[in-house]
Amino acid sequence: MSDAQEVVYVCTNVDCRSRGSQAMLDKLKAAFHAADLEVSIEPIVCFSACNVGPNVVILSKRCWLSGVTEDKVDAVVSFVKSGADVSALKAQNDPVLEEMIFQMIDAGLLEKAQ
Amino acid sequence: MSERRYERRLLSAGRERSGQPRYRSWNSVRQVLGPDEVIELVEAVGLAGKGGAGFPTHRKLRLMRTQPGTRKILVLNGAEHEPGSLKDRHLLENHPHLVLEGALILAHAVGAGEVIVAINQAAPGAMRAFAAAVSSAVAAGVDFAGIEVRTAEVPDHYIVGEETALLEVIEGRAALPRSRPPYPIEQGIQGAPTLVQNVETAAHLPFIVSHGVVPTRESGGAGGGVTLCTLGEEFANSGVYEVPLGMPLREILEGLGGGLRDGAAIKAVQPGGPSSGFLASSALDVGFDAVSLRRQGSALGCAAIRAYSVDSCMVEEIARIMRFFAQESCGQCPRCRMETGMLDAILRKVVTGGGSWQLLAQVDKLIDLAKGQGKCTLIDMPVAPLKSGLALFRDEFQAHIEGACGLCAAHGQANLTALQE
Repeated sequence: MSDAQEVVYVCTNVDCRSRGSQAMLDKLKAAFHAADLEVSIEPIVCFSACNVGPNVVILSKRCWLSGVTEDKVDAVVSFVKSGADVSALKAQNDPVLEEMIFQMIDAGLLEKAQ
Repeated sequence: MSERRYERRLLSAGRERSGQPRYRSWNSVRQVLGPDEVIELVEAVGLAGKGGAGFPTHRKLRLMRTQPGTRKILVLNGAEHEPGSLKDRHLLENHPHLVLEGALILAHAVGAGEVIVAINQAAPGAMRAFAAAVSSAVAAGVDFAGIEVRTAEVPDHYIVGEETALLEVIEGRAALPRSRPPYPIEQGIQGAPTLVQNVETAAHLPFIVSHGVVPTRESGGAGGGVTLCTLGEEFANSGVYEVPLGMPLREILEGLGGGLRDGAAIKAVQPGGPSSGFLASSALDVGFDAVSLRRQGSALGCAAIRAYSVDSCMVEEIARIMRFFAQESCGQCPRCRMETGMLDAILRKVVTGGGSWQLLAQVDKLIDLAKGQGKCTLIDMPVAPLKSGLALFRDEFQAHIEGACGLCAAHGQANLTALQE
């Protein structure tokens, strides 16, 4: 585990939730715990990629993963743990949207108030 | 300049000296004017819809008139959910016969056999007065020519003012805007051609019919007739006024409104509800009409005028507007939900001192991503106030980014609490 705690954002807004994001979030949390990885999972508001949800952003790797259903949880954990290939979970990403998502994050939108 | 000077034009149309309704325009339409002649009159006058979009009324009437089918419905939209607007409930409550007479004339012009008047449940006085007017007109022997008139009480949610959401509510479903096409004029209530017009639009008809083209156009300084507007609670003389289109906005604010209640100078004005662009104090000599306001980057909208004093923090005010649209988005269009939610989040961040110009630079991208992606126009509504606000009040945004807004410090933090949640 690195010094800085990993932060994973999971969209739990209407569309992603209807595609199972809450169940996926719960399973992801348990899977990180089982893998002994200290990861903070934060529910977030919509990033407008609803049609390819559920959406997950792994902050330290500047990585947006889409279509992360429950059965993809193990792939996400492997990616965080050892950098395993997740290109299949990026295949649907819109590059314009992806750029905006990280610009928003870089600009501090998701930082919690002091 | 008194309110009465304008009241006697549009709002007194159709009344006897005794104040009793006479329905002379309606009778004259039935006896003398055919539907096409009414529409030609409306076109010649240049009447534009008073609900906010300002669409030329004659075009909607003509489209409706040419729809096939025997069942046609006219819906008068009196939902009036635009914050600050009171004109429609004012008309329904204080001039219900004018609205009813206008509705009958419109129904005659488009061949509608049914009229449904939608009234906000938060305006029970408007509902009572209009229902009583219908009963008293029937009792007085006014011939509706077979046109059935009924009311529909609608919930007090912003999105209900959107015409297709209104139709959904009237049909007993949730207030979710419909995809278009088909447009309501083609397929509205129960699939029948349905024309939706604002209550005030209908209320202009008796005057237009009784006075004709030239007097109607000349009743407005800009040659476009008169309009109702609402001055917000912040004015010394708040309320609903009838004003000639083209009247200098400053004259309305100061001459009719008496300036701000607390005596402070005006820093900025939104002349057409929360979705209209801000006008700086230096721009207030603009004419109060759609074309002049558009040239200044703002809009006439439904003419709900809101003024902000020099003591107002405009970043906080804009954050409140962004919060409003985020809360009022019905949520069915992902891009609208995203855009309104993110603009709200960005402004909340900035107003509470955690923002940056880098964050505000995302505003244009969010707006571009959302453009044209909503079923209704709510997706566009945050754009004008936010963009005009960023351009006009840059110093105030800078102060918030530096955590040094003197205006907020003067108000105390209590004002910001609701925005931080």
